[in-house]
Amino acid sequence: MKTRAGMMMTLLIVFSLIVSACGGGQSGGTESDANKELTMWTWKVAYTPGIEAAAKLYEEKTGVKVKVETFTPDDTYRQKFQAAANSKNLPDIVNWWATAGDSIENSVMELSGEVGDDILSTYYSAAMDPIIVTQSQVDSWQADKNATTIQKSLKAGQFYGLPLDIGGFFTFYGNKKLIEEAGLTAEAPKTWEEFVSMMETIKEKTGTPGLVFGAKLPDLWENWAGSALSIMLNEPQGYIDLLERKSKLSDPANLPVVKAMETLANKDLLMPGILSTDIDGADQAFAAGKAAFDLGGSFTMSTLLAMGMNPEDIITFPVPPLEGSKITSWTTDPFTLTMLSVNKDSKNKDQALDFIKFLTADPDAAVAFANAAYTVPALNLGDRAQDLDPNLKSISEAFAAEPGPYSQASPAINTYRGKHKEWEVYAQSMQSMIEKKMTAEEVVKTFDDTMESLKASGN
Amino acid sequence: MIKSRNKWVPYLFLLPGVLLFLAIGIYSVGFSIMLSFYNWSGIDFSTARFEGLANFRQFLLGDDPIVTRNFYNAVLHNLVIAVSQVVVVVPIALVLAFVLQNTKAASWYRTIYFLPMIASGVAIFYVWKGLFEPTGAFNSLFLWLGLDFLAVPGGMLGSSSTSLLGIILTSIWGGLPGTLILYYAGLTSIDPTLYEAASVDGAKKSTMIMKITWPLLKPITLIAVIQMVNGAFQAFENVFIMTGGGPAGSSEVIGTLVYRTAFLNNDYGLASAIGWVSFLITGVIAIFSIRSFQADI
Repeated sequence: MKTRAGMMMTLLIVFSLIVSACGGGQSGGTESDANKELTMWTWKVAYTPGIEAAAKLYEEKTGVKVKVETFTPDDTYRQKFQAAANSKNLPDIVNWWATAGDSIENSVMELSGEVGDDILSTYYSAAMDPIIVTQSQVDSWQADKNATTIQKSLKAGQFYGLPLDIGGFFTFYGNKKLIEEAGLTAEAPKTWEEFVSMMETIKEKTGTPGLVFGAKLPDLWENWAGSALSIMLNEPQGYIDLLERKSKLSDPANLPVVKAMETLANKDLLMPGILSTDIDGADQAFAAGKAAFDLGGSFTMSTLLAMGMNPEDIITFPVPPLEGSKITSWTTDPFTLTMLSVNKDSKNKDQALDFIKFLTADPDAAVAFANAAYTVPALNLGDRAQDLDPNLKSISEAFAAEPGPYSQASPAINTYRGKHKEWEVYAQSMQSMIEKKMTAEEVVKTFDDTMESLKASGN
Repeated sequence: MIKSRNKWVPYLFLLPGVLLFLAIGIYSVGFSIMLSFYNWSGIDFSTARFEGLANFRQFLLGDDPIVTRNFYNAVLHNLVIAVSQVVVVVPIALVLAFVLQNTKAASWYRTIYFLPMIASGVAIFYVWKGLFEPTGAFNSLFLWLGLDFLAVPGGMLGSSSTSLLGIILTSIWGGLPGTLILYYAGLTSIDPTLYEAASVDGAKKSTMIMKITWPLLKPITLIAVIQMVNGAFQAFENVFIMTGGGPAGSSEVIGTLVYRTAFLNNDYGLASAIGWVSFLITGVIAIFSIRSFQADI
């Protein structure tokens, strides 16, 4: 009898454990925790010290502690978020990519009625652009048969996050020693052609290939360089027309952009193995002196320094324009990289909102975050920018103060480049061109044919 | 003997496992089938939209030409991996099993051949990636041997002509141990008196292999083939780590396509539909294999 009772008790415990393991947790903690601790998730390992530095200031000010949990890499974080959102188990605060219509809207608070101009006006002028839902996006989602129900429910003007940090792609990093070893002056090239010529000289004199970037990711070139070349060559509207299928890639005005990559491939200026090299691999190769130039963004500098490079051995410059471009110099047009959102089911919503306002809009918090995370805050720091780490200050000074050409094109980029699948075909064709298996003419023909075929099939 | 009043006790012990199976196994499978008829971004199922067979039409019938192209491209690559596995692994495994059976240090060799099955796939595939680099072991070896024409300047994985070959080589390497062990077990289970009787009748060694060994190993071969086809259609880890499906989609398989569709494009319905069609393809091939072997078993 005693044995059977023990057995029953054991089974009961096992069953209880299973049930509790299967069940969802309390979202955002209990009422009694509300004044003590908030939880926050991020996927940016490098940001964690920055968020913790700002959280320390917040705790000193309010007594509320913020616990930061980091899940990496990106894909894992997305899956973690999805699982938690479905089981109503999200933390109080979520760090997310600065986007609208990314399907998280049903899980986080709509902030347009909660955050006033007193806060919004403190950010860089274009900081909220990728976050606020635009009418153009609403129209596009309504017309898109593949748009999600969440996207179809969004209205212009809504936003679900506050901008944390800004940055830009379109930045080339050059190895100063290699450039000088080739007898060149370590200065930014004025044009794309001059840049190619620099790479040729370096290859000839030092044997080191000119350029590396994460070409394993098919769309990286377009995201980080190709779009800048297009926008400079034909101004933002030219690129928007291409995205909206109003022009063709084979148009003489667009072809030079594709030819720019063809030149690099045909002259063997790309690092061998570039098609199996990802972003980290490219940065590592550049830091190890295996290529003279690396394509990245403002955020790449911290990676290169972490890999042991000396800032004095690096030169940086924005994507140089093709000869004949209508815009002759690219201003690294910053855009918001990540945002902070509040779990709509959190029991600590008010405190969570208060914390994200503090982290994104309080100068002390923004400086503490930026210096420890090595990223430029979305808050317009004004005179307080002098408190930034010198390298960060230098990066932020290179950013355009007013919205530049990329900002004009970015709503169309966000709306169409993922939706119109000729861009997926284009990205793969560019890889084939890097392999010298396709010519620029074949790439543009494939793009145009695909575009026509997709249009005809209603996609 | 269990007393009648205690007959339910074993079932109580089974209960947690059954509940877990129902909750995780059956529920997941059912949910995935259901999902293949919906448009869902992966967050909050209340936002899912029932779309009937739209997901299937999208990639099977060309409603979305790019997804359709990607799907058939991936199926072709899975088939190539499956066929190459069967064609290469079966004879090698069979020969190695024979050699092992007649080797004194069989247990030592068995351990060596079995290593790929116990090593961590993720770590191993990063090692393979390094071997295939432009300056990796393969290119270096070819250049050292004077076989320059075999060296791929961009590395085997960095060229659309050879990336799938790189994946196939790792698949063969990974598939060999399991098949070898199967054949080795099969060989040791054959009654030696059959060979003795044949020997007395004056049968040659080759005749014994063709008339005794091979027929008795056919059920093992069937299991091996089904396992390899199944494994080939589930290929993911090696492709994801080594090529990500590129360059230019040259090594895309169904696994990476499903992953990309679900987790990068946030289209869980389409990803589920592709996954289920892949399951059906594997099933059809398995049935075909069983039928083709059935007459002789």
